[in-house]
Amino acid sequence: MDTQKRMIVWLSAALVVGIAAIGAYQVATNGPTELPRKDGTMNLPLDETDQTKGSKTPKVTFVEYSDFQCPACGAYHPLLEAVFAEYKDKISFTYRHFPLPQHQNALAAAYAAEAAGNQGKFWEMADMLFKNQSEWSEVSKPETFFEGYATKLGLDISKYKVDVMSDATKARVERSKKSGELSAIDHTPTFFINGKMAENPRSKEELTALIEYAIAQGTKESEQVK
Amino acid sequence: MFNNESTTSPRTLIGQLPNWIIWAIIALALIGFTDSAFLLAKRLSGTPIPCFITSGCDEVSKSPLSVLFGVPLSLWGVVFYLGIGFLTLLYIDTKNLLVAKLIPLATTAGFLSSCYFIYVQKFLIGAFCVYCLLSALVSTLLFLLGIVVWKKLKTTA
Repeated sequence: MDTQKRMIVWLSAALVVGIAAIGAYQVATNGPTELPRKDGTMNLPLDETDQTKGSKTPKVTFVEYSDFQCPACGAYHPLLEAVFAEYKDKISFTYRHFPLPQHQNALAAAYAAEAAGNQGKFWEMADMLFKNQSEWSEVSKPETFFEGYATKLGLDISKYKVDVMSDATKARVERSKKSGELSAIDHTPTFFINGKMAENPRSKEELTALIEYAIAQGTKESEQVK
Repeated sequence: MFNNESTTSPRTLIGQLPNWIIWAIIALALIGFTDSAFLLAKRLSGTPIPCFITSGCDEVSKSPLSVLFGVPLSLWGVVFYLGIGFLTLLYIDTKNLLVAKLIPLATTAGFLSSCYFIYVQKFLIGAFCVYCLLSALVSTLLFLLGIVVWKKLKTTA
Protein backbone atom coordinates (compact mmCIF):
# COMPACT_ATOMS: atom_id res chain seq x y z
CA MET A 1 0.00 0.00 0.00
CA ASP A 2 1.23 3.48 -0.74
CA THR A 3 1.45 6.04 2.01
CA GLN A 4 -1.68 7.86 0.98
CA LYS A 5 -3.78 4.71 1.05
CA ARG A 6 -2.38 3.76 4.44
CA MET A 7 -3.20 7.18 5.78
CA ILE A 8 -6.78 6.79 4.56
CA VAL A 9 -7.14 3.35 6.18
CA TRP A 10 -5.86 4.49 9.57
CA LEU A 11 -7.62 7.83 9.57
CA SER A 12 -10.96 6.34 8.61
CA ALA A 13 -10.51 3.67 11.29
CA ALA A 14 -9.80 6.38 13.87
CA LEU A 15 -12.83 8.30 12.64
CA VAL A 16 -15.13 5.27 12.89
CA VAL A 17 -13.86 4.46 16.39
CA GLY A 18 -14.32 8.09 17.41
CA ILE A 19 -17.89 8.18 16.12
CA ALA A 20 -18.69 4.87 17.84
CA ALA A 21 -17.26 6.17 21.11
CA ILE A 22 -19.15 9.46 20.95
CA GLY A 23 -22.34 7.63 19.98
CA ALA A 24 -22.00 5.18 22.86
CA TYR A 25 -21.33 8.03 25.26
CA GLN A 26 -24.36 9.99 24.03
CA VAL A 27 -26.68 7.01 24.32
CA ALA A 28 -25.29 6.16 27.75
CA THR A 29 -25.62 9.63 29.24
CA ASN A 30 -28.97 10.56 27.69
CA GLY A 31 -30.72 7.70 29.40
CA PRO A 32 -33.15 8.12 32.28
CA THR A 33 -31.67 8.91 35.68
CA GLU A 34 -34.05 6.47 37.32
CA LEU A 35 -35.39 3.20 36.03
CA PRO A 36 -38.87 1.71 36.42
CA ARG A 37 -39.05 -0.65 39.36
CA LYS A 38 -39.61 -4.24 38.48
CA ASP A 39 -40.20 -5.56 41.97
CA GLY A 40 -43.79 -4.32 42.09
CA THR A 41 -43.14 -1.60 44.64
CA MET A 42 -44.47 1.90 44.29
CA ASN A 43 -41.94 4.47 43.20
CA LEU A 44 -43.08 7.61 44.99
CA PRO A 45 -43.97 7.71 48.69
CA LEU A 46 -47.27 9.35 49.57
CA ASP A 47 -47.20 12.96 50.67
CA GLU A 48 -49.54 15.91 51.18
CA THR A 49 -49.67 16.79 47.50
CA ASP A 50 -51.42 13.48 46.80
CA GLN A 51 -55.19 13.24 46.74
CA THR A 52 -55.77 11.08 49.80
CA LYS A 53 -58.87 10.45 51.85
CA GLY A 54 -59.74 8.24 54.76
CA SER A 55 -57.87 7.48 57.93
CA LYS A 56 -55.12 9.90 58.94
CA THR A 57 -53.29 7.05 60.67
CA PRO A 58 -54.07 4.26 58.26
CA LYS A 59 -53.35 0.62 58.94
CA VAL A 60 -53.28 0.16 55.19
CA THR A 61 -52.54 2.61 52.39
CA PHE A 62 -54.44 1.93 49.21
CA VAL A 63 -53.28 3.74 46.09
CA GLU A 64 -55.03 3.65 42.75
CA TYR A 65 -53.31 4.70 39.54
CA SER A 66 -56.18 5.56 37.31
CA ASP A 67 -57.38 7.34 34.19
CA PHE A 68 -60.77 9.07 34.23
CA GLN A 69 -61.42 8.05 30.64
CA CYS A 70 -60.53 4.40 31.05
CA PRO A 71 -63.65 2.22 31.02
CA ALA A 72 -62.16 -0.36 33.41
CA CYS A 73 -61.38 2.44 35.88
CA GLY A 74 -64.97 3.64 35.56
CA ALA A 75 -66.19 0.10 36.21
CA TYR A 76 -64.01 -0.22 39.30
CA HIS A 77 -65.12 3.13 40.66
CA PRO A 78 -68.40 2.11 42.40
CA LEU A 79 -66.74 -1.03 43.76
CA LEU A 80 -63.83 0.94 45.25
CA GLU A 81 -66.18 3.56 46.68
CA ALA A 82 -68.34 0.92 48.34
CA VAL A 83 -65.39 -0.90 49.88
CA PHE A 84 -63.71 2.32 50.90
CA ALA A 85 -66.87 3.54 52.67
CA GLU A 86 -66.70 0.36 54.71
CA TYR A 87 -63.01 0.74 55.62
CA LYS A 88 -62.54 4.50 55.72
CA ASP A 89 -61.62 4.48 59.43
CA LYS A 90 -58.87 1.92 58.94
CA ILE A 91 -57.35 2.66 55.58
CA SER A 92 -56.40 5.61 53.42
CA PHE A 93 -57.26 5.83 49.78
CA THR A 94 -55.11 7.77 47.33
CA TYR A 95 -55.89 8.59 43.73
CA ARG A 96 -52.97 9.05 41.39
CA HIS A 97 -53.31 10.12 37.80
CA PHE A 98 -52.13 7.85 35.06
CA PRO A 99 -53.78 9.29 31.95
CA LEU A 100 -53.12 6.99 29.02
CA PRO A 101 -52.01 8.56 25.74
CA GLN A 102 -54.76 6.84 23.74
CA HIS A 103 -57.43 8.57 25.84
CA GLN A 104 -57.68 12.02 24.29
CA ASN A 105 -59.62 13.65 27.13
CA ALA A 106 -58.06 11.86 30.09
CA LEU A 107 -55.48 14.56 30.75
CA ALA A 108 -58.08 17.36 30.68
CA ALA A 109 -60.21 15.33 33.09
CA ALA A 110 -57.26 14.93 35.44
CA TYR A 111 -56.71 18.71 35.39
CA ALA A 112 -60.41 19.27 36.11
CA ALA A 113 -60.27 16.95 39.13
CA GLU A 114 -57.14 18.64 40.48
CA ALA A 115 -58.70 22.08 39.99
CA ALA A 116 -61.76 20.91 41.91
CA GLY A 117 -59.37 19.51 44.52
CA ASN A 118 -58.06 23.03 45.11
CA GLN A 119 -61.54 23.82 46.39
CA GLY A 120 -61.76 20.64 48.42
CA LYS A 121 -63.94 18.79 45.91
CA PHE A 122 -61.49 16.38 44.28
CA TRP A 123 -63.43 13.24 45.18
CA GLU A 124 -66.74 14.75 44.20
CA MET A 125 -65.32 15.73 40.81
CA ALA A 126 -63.75 12.28 40.38
CA ASP A 127 -67.14 10.76 41.08
CA MET A 128 -68.79 13.03 38.48
CA LEU A 129 -66.14 12.24 35.90
CA PHE A 130 -66.46 8.49 36.31
CA LYS A 131 -70.24 8.47 36.44
CA ASN A 132 -70.55 10.59 33.31
CA GLN A 133 -67.59 9.02 31.53
CA SER A 134 -69.53 8.18 28.35
CA GLU A 135 -70.75 11.76 28.06
CA TRP A 136 -67.35 13.47 27.69
CA SER A 137 -64.97 10.74 26.58
CA GLU A 138 -65.29 11.18 22.84
CA VAL A 139 -66.14 14.86 22.51
CA SER A 140 -63.67 17.37 21.12
CA LYS A 141 -64.19 19.97 23.85
CA PRO A 142 -64.64 18.09 27.13
CA GLU A 143 -63.85 21.27 29.11
CA THR A 144 -67.41 22.51 28.71
CA PHE A 145 -68.71 19.34 30.36
CA PHE A 146 -66.15 19.62 33.16
CA GLU A 147 -67.17 23.23 33.80
CA GLY A 148 -70.75 22.04 34.00
CA TYR A 149 -69.75 19.52 36.69
CA ALA A 150 -67.82 22.22 38.52
CA THR A 151 -70.94 24.39 38.54
CA LYS A 152 -73.03 21.48 39.81
CA LEU A 153 -70.56 20.95 42.62
CA GLY A 154 -70.90 24.60 43.57
CA LEU A 155 -67.30 25.50 42.83
CA ASP A 156 -66.06 29.05 42.37
CA ILE A 157 -66.00 28.90 38.57
CA SER A 158 -63.57 31.76 37.98
CA LYS A 159 -61.05 30.15 40.33
CA TYR A 160 -61.70 26.74 38.76
CA LYS A 161 -61.02 28.15 35.28
CA VAL A 162 -57.70 29.58 36.40
CA ASP A 163 -56.69 26.44 38.32
CA VAL A 164 -57.53 24.03 35.52
CA MET A 165 -55.02 25.83 33.27
CA SER A 166 -52.35 26.41 35.90
CA ASP A 167 -48.85 25.03 35.75
CA ALA A 168 -49.16 23.77 39.32
CA THR A 169 -52.10 21.57 38.31
CA LYS A 170 -50.26 20.22 35.29
CA ALA A 171 -47.16 19.58 37.40
CA ARG A 172 -49.16 17.58 39.96
CA VAL A 173 -50.68 15.38 37.27
CA GLU A 174 -47.29 14.96 35.59
CA ARG A 175 -45.68 13.98 38.90
CA SER A 176 -48.36 11.37 39.41
CA LYS A 177 -47.98 10.01 35.88
CA LYS A 178 -44.18 9.91 36.16
CA SER A 179 -44.35 7.98 39.42
CA GLY A 180 -46.66 5.51 37.69
CA GLU A 181 -44.16 5.03 34.89
CA LEU A 182 -41.35 4.52 37.38
CA SER A 183 -43.51 2.01 39.24
CA ALA A 184 -43.64 0.03 35.97
CA ILE A 185 -47.40 0.32 35.58
CA ASP A 186 -48.72 -1.22 32.39
CA HIS A 187 -52.46 -1.08 32.94
CA THR A 188 -55.13 1.06 34.54
CA PRO A 189 -56.34 0.86 37.14
CA THR A 190 -53.31 -0.40 39.04
CA PHE A 191 -53.53 -0.75 42.79
CA PHE A 192 -50.82 -0.53 45.39
CA ILE A 193 -51.63 -1.83 48.83
CA ASN A 194 -49.07 -0.65 51.37
CA GLY A 195 -46.79 0.28 48.50
CA LYS A 196 -46.91 -3.11 46.82
CA MET A 197 -48.59 -3.73 43.52
CA ALA A 198 -51.71 -5.85 43.90
CA GLU A 199 -53.49 -8.03 41.39
CA ASN A 200 -56.66 -6.36 40.18
CA PRO A 201 -59.49 -7.90 42.22
CA ARG A 202 -62.30 -9.36 40.15
CA SER A 203 -65.04 -8.76 42.68
CA LYS A 204 -65.93 -6.82 45.79
CA GLU A 205 -65.19 -9.94 47.83
CA GLU A 206 -61.70 -10.22 46.39
CA LEU A 207 -61.00 -6.55 47.06
CA THR A 208 -62.27 -6.88 50.63
CA ALA A 209 -60.11 -9.95 51.10
CA LEU A 210 -57.03 -8.06 49.84
CA ILE A 211 -57.65 -5.23 52.29
CA GLU A 212 -58.42 -7.56 55.19
CA TYR A 213 -55.22 -9.46 54.49
CA ALA A 214 -53.20 -6.24 54.43
CA ILE A 215 -54.75 -5.10 57.71
CA ALA A 216 -53.94 -8.46 59.23
CA GLN A 217 -50.35 -8.09 58.10
CA GLY A 218 -50.18 -5.27 60.57
CA THR A 219 -49.22 -1.66 60.48
CA LYS A 220 -45.57 -2.46 60.05
CA GLU A 221 -45.65 -2.55 56.27
CA SER A 222 -47.29 0.83 55.90
CA GLU A 223 -44.08 2.36 57.15
CA GLN A 224 -42.08 0.67 54.43
CA VAL A 225 -43.78 2.59 51.65
CA LYS A 226 -40.82 4.23 50.03
CA MET B 1 7.20 -7.85 4.57
CA PHE B 2 4.90 -9.84 2.40
CA ASN B 3 3.77 -7.16 0.02
CA ASN B 4 5.08 -9.09 -2.95
CA GLU B 5 3.03 -12.11 -2.07
CA SER B 6 -0.17 -10.17 -1.78
CA THR B 7 0.15 -8.83 -5.30
CA THR B 8 0.22 -12.36 -6.67
CA SER B 9 -2.66 -13.55 -4.46
CA PRO B 10 -6.26 -13.71 -5.69
CA ARG B 11 -8.25 -10.55 -5.16
CA THR B 12 -10.28 -11.95 -2.33
CA LEU B 13 -7.21 -12.27 -0.15
CA ILE B 14 -5.69 -9.65 2.04
CA GLY B 15 -2.18 -11.01 2.47
CA GLN B 16 -2.70 -14.63 3.45
CA LEU B 17 -6.22 -14.20 4.75
CA PRO B 18 -9.60 -14.11 3.01
CA ASN B 19 -11.10 -10.66 2.76
CA TRP B 20 -14.32 -11.57 4.55
CA ILE B 21 -12.52 -12.75 7.68
CA ILE B 22 -10.67 -9.48 8.01
CA TRP B 23 -13.82 -7.41 7.62
CA ALA B 24 -15.83 -9.65 9.93
CA ILE B 25 -13.18 -9.26 12.62
CA ILE B 26 -13.17 -5.49 12.20
CA ALA B 27 -16.98 -5.31 12.31
CA LEU B 28 -17.16 -7.48 15.43
CA ALA B 29 -14.39 -5.51 17.11
CA LEU B 30 -16.34 -2.33 16.41
CA ILE B 31 -19.53 -3.80 17.88
CA GLY B 32 -17.65 -4.99 20.94
CA PHE B 33 -15.93 -1.64 21.29
CA THR B 34 -19.19 0.31 21.12
CA ASP B 35 -20.82 -2.05 23.61
CA SER B 36 -17.94 -1.73 26.07
CA ALA B 37 -17.71 2.03 25.57
CA PHE B 38 -21.41 2.29 26.38
CA LEU B 39 -20.93 0.34 29.62
CA LEU B 40 -17.88 2.40 30.48
CA ALA B 41 -19.76 5.66 29.89
CA LYS B 42 -22.60 4.36 32.07
CA ARG B 43 -20.14 3.56 34.79
CA LEU B 44 -18.40 6.92 34.62
CA SER B 45 -21.67 8.87 34.59
CA GLY B 46 -23.17 6.70 37.31
CA THR B 47 -26.54 6.48 35.54
CA PRO B 48 -28.52 3.23 35.73
CA ILE B 49 -28.42 0.80 32.84
CA PRO B 50 -31.77 -0.03 31.26
CA CYS B 51 -31.99 -3.78 30.88
CA PHE B 52 -33.96 -5.74 28.33
CA ILE B 53 -34.27 -9.50 27.66
CA THR B 54 -32.33 -10.18 30.87
CA SER B 55 -32.69 -8.33 34.14
CA GLY B 56 -29.98 -7.20 36.48
CA CYS B 57 -27.75 -5.05 34.28
CA ASP B 58 -27.25 -2.68 37.17
CA GLU B 59 -26.56 -5.44 39.63
CA VAL B 60 -23.89 -6.94 37.38
CA SER B 61 -22.25 -3.69 36.30
CA LYS B 62 -22.11 -2.28 39.83
CA SER B 63 -20.86 -5.52 41.36
CA PRO B 64 -17.39 -5.45 42.94
CA LEU B 65 -16.65 -8.39 40.62
CA SER B 66 -16.84 -6.03 37.64
CA VAL B 67 -13.41 -4.61 38.44
CA LEU B 68 -10.12 -6.29 37.57
CA PHE B 69 -6.83 -4.92 38.97
CA GLY B 70 -8.65 -1.72 39.87
CA VAL B 71 -9.82 -1.21 36.31
CA PRO B 72 -13.50 -1.69 35.38
CA LEU B 73 -14.13 -4.61 33.04
CA SER B 74 -15.81 -2.26 30.59
CA LEU B 75 -12.50 -0.43 30.19
CA TRP B 76 -10.72 -3.76 29.69
CA GLY B 77 -13.33 -4.48 27.02
CA VAL B 78 -12.69 -1.16 25.29
CA VAL B 79 -8.94 -1.86 25.29
CA PHE B 80 -9.44 -5.46 24.14
CA TYR B 81 -11.67 -4.62 21.18
CA LEU B 82 -9.54 -1.64 20.21
CA GLY B 83 -6.54 -3.97 20.33
CA ILE B 84 -8.20 -6.54 18.07
CA GLY B 85 -9.19 -3.79 15.63
CA PHE B 86 -5.71 -2.33 15.75
CA LEU B 87 -4.03 -5.69 15.10
CA THR B 88 -6.32 -6.36 12.17
CA LEU B 89 -5.70 -2.95 10.63
CA LEU B 90 -2.00 -3.38 11.23
CA TYR B 91 -2.21 -6.64 9.35
CA ILE B 92 -4.07 -5.00 6.45
CA ASP B 93 -1.37 -2.35 6.44
CA THR B 94 1.75 -4.50 6.80
CA LYS B 95 0.60 -8.02 5.82
CA ASN B 96 2.94 -9.13 8.57
CA LEU B 97 2.19 -12.75 9.46
CA LEU B 98 3.45 -12.26 13.00
CA VAL B 99 0.69 -9.69 13.50
CA ALA B 100 -1.85 -12.12 12.03
CA LYS B 101 -0.71 -14.79 14.46
CA LEU B 102 -1.40 -12.45 17.37
CA ILE B 103 -5.08 -12.26 16.39
CA PRO B 104 -6.00 -15.85 17.37
CA LEU B 105 -3.99 -15.43 20.57
CA ALA B 106 -5.90 -12.30 21.56
CA THR B 107 -9.30 -13.72 20.61
CA THR B 108 -8.61 -16.86 22.65
CA ALA B 109 -7.78 -14.72 25.68
CA GLY B 110 -10.99 -12.76 25.09
CA PHE B 111 -13.05 -15.92 24.78
CA LEU B 112 -11.65 -17.44 27.98
CA SER B 113 -12.30 -14.19 29.82
CA SER B 114 -15.87 -14.16 28.54
CA CYS B 115 -16.41 -17.73 29.73
CA TYR B 116 -15.23 -16.65 33.16
CA PHE B 117 -17.51 -13.58 33.16
CA ILE B 118 -20.51 -15.73 32.23
CA TYR B 119 -19.60 -18.00 35.13
CA VAL B 120 -19.38 -14.99 37.46
CA GLN B 121 -22.77 -13.69 36.32
CA LYS B 122 -24.47 -17.04 36.60
CA PHE B 123 -22.98 -18.37 39.83
CA LEU B 124 -21.51 -15.48 41.79
CA ILE B 125 -23.94 -12.62 41.05
CA GLY B 126 -26.98 -14.57 39.95
CA ALA B 127 -27.98 -12.01 37.33
CA PHE B 128 -27.16 -11.44 33.69
CA CYS B 129 -26.42 -8.15 32.00
CA VAL B 130 -27.49 -8.20 28.40
CA TYR B 131 -24.66 -5.90 27.28
CA CYS B 132 -22.13 -8.24 28.90
CA LEU B 133 -23.75 -11.19 27.13
CA LEU B 134 -23.50 -9.31 23.84
CA SER B 135 -19.81 -8.82 24.51
CA ALA B 136 -19.46 -12.53 25.31
CA LEU B 137 -21.20 -13.38 22.04
CA VAL B 138 -18.95 -11.03 20.08
CA SER B 139 -15.80 -12.41 21.67
CA THR B 140 -16.99 -15.97 20.98
CA LEU B 141 -17.50 -15.12 17.31
CA LEU B 142 -14.08 -13.46 17.28
CA PHE B 143 -12.62 -16.60 18.82
CA LEU B 144 -14.17 -18.74 16.07
CA LEU B 145 -12.80 -16.37 13.42
CA GLY B 146 -9.48 -16.55 15.24
CA ILE B 147 -9.48 -20.33 14.76
CA VAL B 148 -10.11 -19.86 11.04
CA VAL B 149 -7.27 -17.35 10.87
CA TRP B 150 -4.96 -19.74 12.71
CA LYS B 151 -5.82 -22.62 10.36
CA LYS B 152 -5.35 -20.48 7.27
CA LEU B 153 -1.98 -19.34 8.51
CA LYS B 154 -1.00 -22.91 9.22
CA THR B 155 -1.98 -24.26 5.81
CA THR B 156 -0.41 -21.40 3.90
CA ALA B 157 2.72 -21.22 5.99
